[in-house]
Amino acid sequence: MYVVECKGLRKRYGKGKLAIENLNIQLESGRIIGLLGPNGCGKTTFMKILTGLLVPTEGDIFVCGQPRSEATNNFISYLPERTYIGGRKKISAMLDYFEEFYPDFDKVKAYKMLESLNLDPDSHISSLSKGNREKVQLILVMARNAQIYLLDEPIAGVDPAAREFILRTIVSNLNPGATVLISTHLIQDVEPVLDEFIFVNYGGNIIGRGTASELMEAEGKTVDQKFREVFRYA
Amino acid sequence: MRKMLKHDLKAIWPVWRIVAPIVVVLAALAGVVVGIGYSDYEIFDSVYWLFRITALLIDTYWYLILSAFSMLVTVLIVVRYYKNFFTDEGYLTFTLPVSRTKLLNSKILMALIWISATLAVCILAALAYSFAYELTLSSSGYMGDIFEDTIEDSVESAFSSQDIHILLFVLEVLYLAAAWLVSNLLLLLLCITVGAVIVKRAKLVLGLGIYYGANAVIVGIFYTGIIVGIILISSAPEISEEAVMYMFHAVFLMGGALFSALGVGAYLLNKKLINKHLNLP
Repeated sequence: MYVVECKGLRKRYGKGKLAIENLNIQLESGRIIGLLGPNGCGKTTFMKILTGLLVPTEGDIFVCGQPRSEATNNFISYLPERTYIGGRKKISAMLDYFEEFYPDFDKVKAYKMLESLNLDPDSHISSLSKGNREKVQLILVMARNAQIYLLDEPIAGVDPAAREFILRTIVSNLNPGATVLISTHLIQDVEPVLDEFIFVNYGGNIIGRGTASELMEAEGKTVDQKFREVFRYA
Repeated sequence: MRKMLKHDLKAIWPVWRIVAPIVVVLAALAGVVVGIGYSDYEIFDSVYWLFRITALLIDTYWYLILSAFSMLVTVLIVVRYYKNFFTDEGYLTFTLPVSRTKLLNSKILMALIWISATLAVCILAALAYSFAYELTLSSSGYMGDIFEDTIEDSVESAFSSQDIHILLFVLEVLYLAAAWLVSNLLLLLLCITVGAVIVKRAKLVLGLGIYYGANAVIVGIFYTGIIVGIILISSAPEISEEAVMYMFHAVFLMGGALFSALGVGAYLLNKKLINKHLNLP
Protein backbone atom coordinates (compact mmCIF):
# COMPACT_ATOMS: atom_id res chain seq x y z
CA MET A 1 0.00 0.00 0.00
CA TYR A 2 1.24 3.48 -0.86
CA VAL A 3 1.06 6.21 1.75
CA VAL A 4 0.09 8.68 -0.95
CA GLU A 5 -1.46 7.89 -4.30
CA CYS A 6 -2.76 10.46 -6.80
CA LYS A 7 -4.48 9.66 -10.08
CA GLY A 8 -5.17 12.26 -12.74
CA LEU A 9 -4.77 15.17 -10.33
CA ARG A 10 -5.56 18.58 -11.77
CA LYS A 11 -5.71 21.95 -10.10
CA ARG A 12 -6.77 25.19 -11.72
CA TYR A 13 -6.87 28.49 -9.81
CA GLY A 14 -10.01 30.30 -10.88
CA LYS A 15 -10.09 30.61 -14.65
CA GLY A 16 -6.32 30.82 -14.91
CA LYS A 17 -3.81 28.25 -16.04
CA LEU A 18 -3.51 24.80 -14.56
CA ALA A 19 -1.12 24.71 -11.61
CA ILE A 20 -1.18 20.92 -11.84
CA GLU A 21 -2.05 19.44 -15.23
CA ASN A 22 -2.20 15.70 -14.74
CA LEU A 23 -0.30 14.36 -11.80
CA ASN A 24 -0.03 10.63 -11.19
CA ILE A 25 2.19 9.77 -8.28
CA GLN A 26 2.68 7.08 -5.66
CA LEU A 27 4.80 7.51 -2.54
CA GLU A 28 6.03 4.55 -0.56
CA SER A 29 6.30 4.39 3.21
CA GLY A 30 9.52 4.83 5.15
CA ARG A 31 11.20 7.18 2.66
CA ILE A 32 12.58 10.69 2.84
CA ILE A 33 11.70 12.18 -0.52
CA GLY A 34 12.82 15.48 -1.98
CA LEU A 35 10.19 17.17 -4.13
CA LEU A 36 12.37 19.38 -6.28
CA GLY A 37 11.48 21.81 -9.00
CA PRO A 38 11.54 25.47 -10.06
CA ASN A 39 9.35 28.16 -8.50
CA GLY A 40 5.68 27.84 -9.44
CA CYS A 41 5.89 24.25 -10.63
CA GLY A 42 3.12 23.09 -8.28
CA LYS A 43 5.05 21.63 -5.33
CA THR A 44 3.26 23.71 -2.72
CA THR A 45 -0.06 23.26 -4.52
CA PHE A 46 0.40 19.48 -4.35
CA MET A 47 1.12 19.59 -0.61
CA LYS A 48 -1.82 21.87 0.03
CA ILE A 49 -4.13 19.52 -1.84
CA LEU A 50 -2.90 16.60 0.24
CA THR A 51 -3.69 18.47 3.45
CA GLY A 52 -7.05 19.74 2.23
CA LEU A 53 -6.07 23.41 2.10
CA LEU A 54 -6.85 23.42 -1.60
CA VAL A 55 -9.71 21.73 -3.35
CA PRO A 56 -8.51 19.84 -6.46
CA THR A 57 -10.23 20.56 -9.75
CA GLU A 58 -10.14 16.88 -10.73
CA GLY A 59 -8.54 13.62 -9.72
CA ASP A 60 -8.41 11.01 -7.01
CA ILE A 61 -6.19 11.24 -3.95
CA PHE A 62 -5.64 8.45 -1.46
CA VAL A 63 -3.78 8.88 1.81
CA CYS A 64 -2.82 5.68 3.61
CA GLY A 65 -5.33 3.86 1.43
CA GLN A 66 -8.23 6.19 2.25
CA PRO A 67 -9.75 8.82 -0.03
CA ARG A 68 -8.53 12.24 1.09
CA SER A 69 -10.77 13.85 3.69
CA GLU A 70 -10.45 15.65 7.01
CA ALA A 71 -9.95 12.19 8.58
CA THR A 72 -6.76 11.63 6.59
CA ASN A 73 -5.30 14.76 8.23
CA ASN A 74 -4.77 12.43 11.19
CA PHE A 75 -2.01 10.75 9.15
CA ILE A 76 -0.38 13.93 7.86
CA SER A 77 1.85 16.34 9.72
CA TYR A 78 2.26 19.47 7.62
CA LEU A 79 4.80 22.26 7.90
CA PRO A 80 3.73 25.09 5.58
CA GLU A 81 6.11 27.72 4.29
CA ARG A 82 4.13 30.30 6.26
CA THR A 83 4.14 30.84 9.99
CA TYR A 84 0.66 30.18 11.30
CA ILE A 85 1.32 30.51 15.01
CA GLY A 86 1.12 33.87 16.67
CA GLY A 87 -0.80 35.96 19.14
CA ARG A 88 -0.69 36.05 22.89
CA LYS A 89 -0.67 32.30 23.35
CA LYS A 90 2.17 30.63 25.21
CA ILE A 91 4.19 27.89 23.52
CA SER A 92 2.85 25.44 26.10
CA ALA A 93 -0.72 26.38 25.08
CA MET A 94 0.09 25.48 21.47
CA LEU A 95 1.43 22.14 22.66
CA ASP A 96 -1.83 21.55 24.55
CA TYR A 97 -3.77 22.51 21.43
CA PHE A 98 -1.91 19.99 19.28
CA GLU A 99 -2.24 17.31 21.94
CA GLU A 100 -5.97 17.86 22.01
CA PHE A 101 -6.52 17.61 18.27
CA TYR A 102 -3.88 15.05 17.27
CA PRO A 103 -3.88 11.77 19.18
CA ASP A 104 -0.39 11.02 17.83
CA PHE A 105 1.14 14.18 19.31
CA ASP A 106 3.97 13.34 21.72
CA LYS A 107 4.11 16.14 24.26
CA VAL A 108 7.16 14.73 26.04
CA LYS A 109 9.06 14.69 22.77
CA ALA A 110 7.96 18.27 22.10
CA TYR A 111 9.21 19.48 25.49
CA LYS A 112 12.55 17.74 24.91
CA MET A 113 12.90 19.44 21.54
CA LEU A 114 12.05 22.81 23.10
CA GLU A 115 14.70 22.23 25.73
CA SER A 116 17.33 21.33 23.15
CA LEU A 117 16.54 24.58 21.34
CA ASN A 118 16.60 26.64 24.55
CA LEU A 119 13.00 27.68 24.06
CA ASP A 120 11.00 28.40 27.19
CA PRO A 121 7.55 26.74 27.01
CA ASP A 122 6.14 29.64 29.02
CA SER A 123 7.24 32.21 26.45
CA HIS A 124 4.51 34.01 24.60
CA ILE A 125 4.61 33.30 20.89
CA SER A 126 4.26 37.00 20.10
CA SER A 127 7.54 37.62 21.95
CA LEU A 128 9.50 35.17 19.77
CA SER A 129 11.59 36.11 16.77
CA LYS A 130 10.47 34.89 13.34
CA GLY A 131 13.18 32.22 13.37
CA ASN A 132 12.12 30.96 16.79
CA ARG A 133 8.49 30.85 15.72
CA GLU A 134 9.51 28.70 12.78
CA LYS A 135 11.40 26.43 15.15
CA VAL A 136 8.33 26.09 17.40
CA GLN A 137 6.24 25.28 14.35
CA LEU A 138 8.76 22.63 13.30
CA ILE A 139 8.65 21.14 16.81
CA LEU A 140 4.85 21.00 16.70
CA VAL A 141 5.00 19.17 13.38
CA MET A 142 7.83 16.79 14.23
CA ALA A 143 6.49 15.91 17.68
CA ARG A 144 3.66 14.08 16.00
CA ASN A 145 4.05 10.37 15.29
CA ALA A 146 2.48 10.81 11.87
CA GLN A 147 2.58 8.53 8.83
CA ILE A 148 3.42 11.37 6.46
CA TYR A 149 5.36 14.57 7.05
CA LEU A 150 4.92 17.26 4.44
CA LEU A 151 7.62 19.89 4.85
CA ASP A 152 7.34 22.89 2.56
CA GLU A 153 10.62 24.82 2.45
CA PRO A 154 11.59 23.86 6.01
CA ILE A 155 15.08 25.39 5.76
CA ALA A 156 14.39 28.44 3.63
CA GLY A 157 15.41 31.72 5.19
CA VAL A 158 17.54 30.30 7.99
CA ASP A 159 21.31 30.36 8.43
CA PRO A 160 23.41 27.29 7.47
CA ALA A 161 23.92 26.23 11.10
CA ALA A 162 20.20 26.34 11.74
CA ARG A 163 19.58 24.38 8.51
CA GLU A 164 21.77 21.59 9.78
CA PHE A 165 19.98 21.60 13.10
CA ILE A 166 16.55 21.55 11.43
CA LEU A 167 17.49 18.63 9.19
CA ARG A 168 18.92 16.75 12.17
CA THR A 169 15.69 17.45 14.08
CA ILE A 170 13.65 16.11 11.18
CA VAL A 171 15.65 12.92 10.77
CA SER A 172 16.13 12.14 14.46
CA ASN A 173 12.48 12.71 15.39
CA LEU A 174 10.99 10.78 12.58
CA ASN A 175 8.35 8.21 13.32
CA PRO A 176 9.79 4.86 12.10
CA GLY A 177 8.11 3.85 8.87
CA ALA A 178 6.96 7.38 8.16
CA THR A 179 7.35 9.09 4.81
CA VAL A 180 8.79 12.60 4.59
CA LEU A 181 8.18 14.76 1.58
CA ILE A 182 10.47 17.80 1.55
CA SER A 183 9.96 20.61 -0.90
CA THR A 184 13.01 22.86 -1.17
CA HIS A 185 15.35 24.77 -3.43
CA LEU A 186 18.32 24.21 -1.14
CA ILE A 187 19.13 20.83 -2.63
CA GLN A 188 22.74 20.66 -1.49
CA ASP A 189 21.63 20.96 2.13
CA VAL A 190 18.95 18.30 2.04
CA GLU A 191 20.71 15.87 -0.30
CA PRO A 192 22.52 13.95 2.48
CA VAL A 193 19.21 13.01 4.14
CA LEU A 194 17.22 12.14 1.02
CA ASP A 195 16.33 8.55 0.14
CA GLU A 196 14.73 9.61 -3.09
CA PHE A 197 14.24 12.70 -5.26
CA ILE A 198 11.42 13.69 -7.58
CA PHE A 199 11.97 16.40 -10.21
CA VAL A 200 8.80 18.33 -10.96
CA ASN A 201 8.43 20.70 -13.88
CA TYR A 202 5.78 23.36 -14.58
CA GLY A 203 2.25 22.03 -14.38
CA GLY A 204 3.27 19.46 -11.80
CA ASN A 205 4.76 17.15 -14.41
CA ILE A 206 7.22 14.62 -13.03
CA ILE A 207 10.30 14.59 -15.23
CA GLY A 208 12.68 12.57 -13.11
CA ARG A 209 12.70 10.28 -10.14
CA GLY A 210 15.30 8.13 -8.44
CA THR A 211 17.75 7.82 -5.58
CA ALA A 212 20.91 9.84 -5.04
CA SER A 213 23.06 6.69 -5.09
CA GLU A 214 21.51 5.47 -8.36
CA LEU A 215 22.14 8.85 -9.93
CA MET A 216 25.73 8.92 -8.76
CA GLU A 217 26.28 5.39 -10.03
CA ALA A 218 24.67 5.97 -13.44
CA GLU A 219 25.83 9.52 -14.22
CA GLY A 220 28.39 10.39 -11.60
CA LYS A 221 26.36 13.43 -10.55
CA THR A 222 24.84 14.64 -7.33
CA VAL A 223 21.13 15.49 -7.16
CA ASP A 224 22.06 19.18 -7.03
CA GLN A 225 24.20 18.91 -10.18
CA LYS A 226 21.48 17.00 -11.97
CA PHE A 227 18.88 19.57 -10.93
CA ARG A 228 20.98 22.42 -12.33
CA GLU A 229 21.40 20.49 -15.56
CA VAL A 230 17.70 19.68 -15.97
CA PHE A 231 16.34 23.06 -15.01
CA ARG A 232 19.02 25.20 -16.63
CA TYR A 233 17.65 28.52 -17.91
CA ALA A 234 18.32 29.20 -21.56
CA MET B 1 -16.62 20.09 17.35
CA ARG B 2 -16.72 20.32 21.15
CA LYS B 3 -12.94 20.88 21.15
CA MET B 4 -13.21 23.62 18.52
CA LEU B 5 -16.01 25.31 20.42
CA LYS B 6 -14.03 25.21 23.65
CA HIS B 7 -11.09 26.99 22.00
CA ASP B 8 -13.35 29.50 20.29
CA LEU B 9 -15.07 30.35 23.56
CA LYS B 10 -11.77 30.58 25.41
CA ALA B 11 -10.41 33.05 22.86
CA ILE B 12 -13.04 35.72 23.58
CA TRP B 13 -13.53 35.01 27.30
CA PRO B 14 -10.46 36.97 28.57
CA VAL B 15 -11.81 40.23 27.10
CA TRP B 16 -15.47 39.55 27.79
CA ARG B 17 -15.02 38.65 31.47
CA ILE B 18 -13.37 42.03 32.10
CA VAL B 19 -15.63 44.22 29.98
CA ALA B 20 -19.00 42.67 30.96
CA PRO B 21 -18.80 43.54 34.70
CA ILE B 22 -17.48 47.02 33.80
CA VAL B 23 -20.53 47.58 31.59
CA VAL B 24 -22.93 46.61 34.41
CA VAL B 25 -21.08 48.76 36.95
CA LEU B 26 -20.96 51.73 34.55
CA ALA B 27 -24.69 51.37 33.88
CA ALA B 28 -25.38 51.33 37.63
CA LEU B 29 -23.16 54.39 38.12
CA ALA B 30 -24.97 56.14 35.29
CA GLY B 31 -28.26 55.34 37.05
CA VAL B 32 -26.91 56.83 40.30
CA VAL B 33 -25.75 60.03 38.62
CA VAL B 34 -29.05 60.45 36.77
CA GLY B 35 -30.99 59.73 39.97
CA ILE B 36 -29.05 62.40 41.86
CA GLY B 37 -29.29 64.83 38.96
CA TYR B 38 -33.07 64.53 38.79
CA SER B 39 -33.43 64.89 42.58
CA ASP B 40 -33.05 67.84 44.89
CA TYR B 41 -30.53 66.77 47.51
CA GLU B 42 -29.47 69.81 49.54
CA ILE B 43 -25.81 68.79 49.80
CA PHE B 44 -25.46 69.19 46.02
CA ASP B 45 -27.12 72.61 45.88
CA SER B 46 -23.90 74.45 44.95
CA VAL B 47 -23.24 72.15 41.99
CA TYR B 48 -26.85 71.39 41.23
CA TRP B 49 -26.62 72.66 37.65
CA LEU B 50 -23.60 70.38 36.99
CA PHE B 51 -25.49 67.32 38.19
CA ARG B 52 -28.56 68.27 36.18
CA ILE B 53 -26.61 68.71 32.93
CA THR B 54 -24.60 65.54 33.54
CA ALA B 55 -27.80 63.66 34.32
CA LEU B 56 -29.43 64.88 31.13
CA LEU B 57 -26.43 63.84 29.04
CA ILE B 58 -26.07 60.45 30.68
CA ASP B 59 -29.82 59.85 30.58
CA THR B 60 -29.75 60.49 26.84
CA TYR B 61 -26.57 58.63 25.98
CA TRP B 62 -25.99 55.93 28.62
CA TYR B 63 -27.21 53.22 26.27
CA LEU B 64 -24.11 53.94 24.17
CA ILE B 65 -22.22 51.89 26.76
CA LEU B 66 -24.35 48.91 25.72
CA SER B 67 -23.89 49.68 22.04
CA ALA B 68 -20.12 49.89 22.48
CA PHE B 69 -20.10 46.59 24.36
CA SER B 70 -22.19 44.86 21.68
CA MET B 71 -19.95 46.35 18.99
CA LEU B 72 -16.84 45.13 20.79
CA VAL B 73 -18.19 41.57 21.00
CA THR B 74 -19.19 41.67 17.31
CA VAL B 75 -15.70 42.87 16.35
CA LEU B 76 -14.11 40.08 18.41
CA ILE B 77 -16.34 37.48 16.71
CA VAL B 78 -15.58 38.85 13.23
CA VAL B 79 -11.84 39.09 13.86
CA ARG B 80 -11.71 35.54 15.23
CA TYR B 81 -13.67 34.18 12.27
CA TYR B 82 -11.57 36.07 9.73
CA LYS B 83 -8.20 35.28 11.30
CA ASN B 84 -8.91 31.60 11.86
CA PHE B 85 -10.24 30.99 8.37
CA PHE B 86 -8.71 33.46 5.95
CA THR B 87 -5.27 34.45 7.20
CA ASP B 88 -2.17 32.31 7.74
CA GLU B 89 -3.89 30.82 10.79
CA GLY B 90 -6.08 29.00 8.26
CA TYR B 91 -3.06 26.75 7.63
CA LEU B 92 -3.56 25.43 11.13
CA THR B 93 -7.37 25.50 11.16
CA PHE B 94 -7.95 23.67 7.89
CA THR B 95 -5.30 21.01 8.43
CA LEU B 96 -6.92 19.84 11.65
CA PRO B 97 -8.73 16.51 11.40
CA VAL B 98 -12.05 18.38 11.55
CA SER B 99 -14.43 18.89 8.62
CA ARG B 100 -14.90 22.39 7.24
CA THR B 101 -18.61 22.23 8.01
CA LYS B 102 -17.87 21.49 11.66
CA LEU B 103 -15.38 24.35 11.77
CA LEU B 104 -18.03 26.70 10.40
CA ASN B 105 -20.70 25.39 12.77
CA SER B 106 -18.36 25.87 15.69
CA LYS B 107 -17.78 29.50 14.72
CA ILE B 108 -21.53 30.14 14.36
CA LEU B 109 -22.35 28.47 17.66
CA MET B 110 -19.56 30.40 19.37
CA ALA B 111 -20.90 33.65 17.96
CA LEU B 112 -24.47 32.85 19.05
CA ILE B 113 -23.33 31.98 22.56
CA TRP B 114 -21.40 35.25 22.91
CA ILE B 115 -24.21 37.31 21.40
CA SER B 116 -26.72 35.73 23.81
CA ALA B 117 -24.39 36.30 26.76
CA THR B 118 -23.84 39.90 25.67
CA LEU B 119 -27.58 40.43 25.32
CA ALA B 120 -28.08 39.05 28.83
CA VAL B 121 -25.43 41.45 30.17
CA CYS B 122 -27.11 44.37 28.36
CA ILE B 123 -30.44 43.47 29.98
CA LEU B 124 -28.70 43.16 33.35
CA ALA B 125 -27.04 46.55 32.77
CA ALA B 126 -30.41 48.13 31.92
CA LEU B 127 -31.89 46.69 35.09
CA ALA B 128 -28.87 47.90 37.10
CA TYR B 129 -29.36 51.38 35.62
CA SER B 130 -33.07 51.47 36.52
CA PHE B 131 -32.49 49.98 39.96
CA ALA B 132 -29.67 52.45 40.78
CA TYR B 133 -31.79 55.31 39.48
CA GLU B 134 -34.77 54.29 41.63
CA LEU B 135 -32.59 53.92 44.70
CA THR B 136 -30.98 57.33 44.30
CA LEU B 137 -34.06 59.31 43.31
CA SER B 138 -35.22 61.46 46.22
CA SER B 139 -38.89 61.29 45.30
CA SER B 140 -41.01 59.15 43.04
CA GLY B 141 -39.27 59.28 39.66
CA TYR B 142 -40.77 59.96 36.33
CA MET B 143 -38.55 57.46 34.47
CA GLY B 144 -39.06 54.67 36.97
CA ASP B 145 -42.79 55.06 36.92
CA ILE B 146 -42.95 54.84 33.19
CA PHE B 147 -40.63 51.80 33.14
CA GLU B 148 -42.64 49.95 35.79
CA ASP B 149 -46.01 50.96 34.41
CA THR B 150 -45.11 49.82 30.91
CA ILE B 151 -43.92 46.41 32.09
CA GLU B 152 -46.84 45.93 34.44
CA ASP B 153 -49.37 47.04 31.85
CA SER B 154 -47.90 44.76 29.20
CA VAL B 155 -47.82 41.71 31.46
CA GLU B 156 -51.30 42.37 32.78
CA SER B 157 -52.80 42.90 29.37
CA ALA B 158 -51.01 39.86 27.97
CA PHE B 159 -52.08 37.42 30.62
CA SER B 160 -55.26 38.71 32.18
CA SER B 161 -56.96 40.04 29.11
CA GLN B 162 -59.37 37.88 27.19
CA ASP B 163 -57.65 38.97 24.05
CA ILE B 164 -54.96 36.52 23.01
CA HIS B 165 -53.56 38.90 20.41
CA ILE B 166 -51.19 40.69 22.79
CA LEU B 167 -49.58 37.44 23.90
CA LEU B 168 -49.23 36.37 20.28
CA PHE B 169 -47.67 39.72 19.39
CA VAL B 170 -45.09 39.27 22.16
CA LEU B 171 -44.18 35.81 20.84
CA GLU B 172 -44.09 37.05 17.26
CA VAL B 173 -41.84 39.97 18.14
CA LEU B 174 -39.49 37.61 20.01
CA TYR B 175 -39.42 35.29 16.99
CA LEU B 176 -38.83 38.20 14.64
CA ALA B 177 -36.02 39.57 16.81
CA ALA B 178 -34.34 36.17 17.12
CA ALA B 179 -34.66 35.48 13.38
CA TRP B 180 -33.30 38.94 12.58
CA LEU B 181 -30.36 38.53 14.96
CA VAL B 182 -29.36 35.05 13.74
CA SER B 183 -29.85 35.86 10.05
CA ASN B 184 -27.81 39.04 10.48
CA LEU B 185 -24.96 37.06 12.00
CA LEU B 186 -25.09 34.41 9.27
CA LEU B 187 -25.20 37.11 6.60
CA LEU B 188 -22.20 38.86 8.17
CA LEU B 189 -20.16 35.64 8.20
CA LEU B 190 -21.20 34.85 4.62
CA CYS B 191 -20.13 38.30 3.40
CA ILE B 192 -16.72 37.94 5.06
CA THR B 193 -16.32 34.57 3.32
CA VAL B 194 -17.37 36.05 -0.01
CA GLY B 195 -14.82 38.85 0.43
CA ALA B 196 -12.10 36.30 1.21
CA VAL B 197 -12.99 34.05 -1.69
CA ILE B 198 -13.22 36.64 -4.45
CA VAL B 199 -10.27 38.95 -3.75
CA LYS B 200 -6.69 38.56 -2.58
CA ARG B 201 -6.25 41.86 -0.76
CA ALA B 202 -8.43 43.88 1.61
CA LYS B 203 -10.64 40.81 2.01
CA LEU B 204 -12.17 41.88 5.30
CA VAL B 205 -12.89 45.41 4.10
CA LEU B 206 -14.65 44.07 1.02
CA GLY B 207 -16.56 41.50 3.10
CA LEU B 208 -17.82 44.18 5.48
CA GLY B 209 -18.66 46.44 2.53
CA ILE B 210 -20.76 43.68 0.97
CA TYR B 211 -22.45 43.09 4.33
CA TYR B 212 -23.44 46.73 4.83
CA GLY B 213 -24.66 46.93 1.24
CA ALA B 214 -26.72 43.75 1.53
CA ASN B 215 -28.03 44.79 4.92
CA ALA B 216 -29.15 48.17 3.57
CA VAL B 217 -31.07 46.41 0.77
CA ILE B 218 -32.69 43.93 3.18
CA VAL B 219 -33.67 46.61 5.69
CA GLY B 220 -35.00 48.72 2.80
CA ILE B 221 -37.18 45.84 1.58
CA PHE B 222 -38.37 45.10 5.12
CA TYR B 223 -39.40 48.68 5.88
CA THR B 224 -40.97 49.15 2.46
CA GLY B 225 -43.05 46.05 3.13
CA ILE B 226 -44.17 47.43 6.48
CA ILE B 227 -45.03 50.86 5.06
CA VAL B 228 -46.96 49.36 2.15
CA GLY B 229 -48.78 47.08 4.60
CA ILE B 230 -49.76 49.99 6.83
CA ILE B 231 -50.97 52.03 3.85
CA LEU B 232 -53.05 49.13 2.56
CA ILE B 233 -54.55 48.49 5.98
CA SER B 234 -55.35 52.15 6.64
CA SER B 235 -56.83 52.69 3.20
CA ALA B 236 -59.00 49.58 3.26
CA PRO B 237 -62.67 50.49 3.64
CA GLU B 238 -64.79 49.06 6.44
CA ILE B 239 -62.14 46.80 7.87
CA SER B 240 -62.79 45.29 11.28
CA GLU B 241 -60.42 45.62 14.23
CA GLU B 242 -60.06 41.85 14.32
CA ALA B 243 -58.98 41.78 10.67
CA VAL B 244 -56.37 44.48 11.34
CA MET B 245 -54.99 42.37 14.18
CA TYR B 246 -54.66 39.34 11.90
CA MET B 247 -52.95 41.46 9.28
CA PHE B 248 -50.38 42.58 11.84
CA HIS B 249 -49.84 38.94 12.88
CA ALA B 250 -49.25 38.11 9.22
CA VAL B 251 -46.74 40.96 8.86
CA PHE B 252 -44.75 39.84 11.91
CA LEU B 253 -44.78 36.20 10.87
CA MET B 254 -43.82 37.02 7.30
CA GLY B 255 -40.96 39.19 8.59
CA GLY B 256 -39.78 36.32 10.81
CA ALA B 257 -40.08 33.84 7.93
CA LEU B 258 -38.18 36.21 5.63
CA PHE B 259 -35.28 36.54 8.07
CA SER B 260 -35.32 32.79 8.79
CA ALA B 261 -35.12 32.01 5.06
CA LEU B 262 -32.36 34.57 4.68
CA GLY B 263 -30.40 32.99 7.54
CA VAL B 264 -30.76 29.46 6.15
CA GLY B 265 -29.75 30.66 2.67
CA ALA B 266 -26.72 32.52 4.02
CA TYR B 267 -25.61 29.48 6.01
CA LEU B 268 -25.94 27.05 3.09
CA LEU B 269 -24.11 29.38 0.72
CA ASN B 270 -21.34 29.98 3.25
CA LYS B 271 -20.99 26.23 3.80
CA LYS B 272 -20.70 25.66 0.05
CA LEU B 273 -18.12 28.42 -0.39
CA ILE B 274 -15.97 27.19 2.48
CA ASN B 275 -16.16 23.56 1.39
CA LYS B 276 -15.78 23.98 -2.36
CA HIS B 277 -14.25 27.34 -3.18
CA LEU B 278 -11.99 28.41 -0.35
CA ASN B 279 -8.35 28.11 -1.42
CA LEU B 280 -5.84 29.56 0.99
CA PRO B 281 -3.14 31.53 -0.85
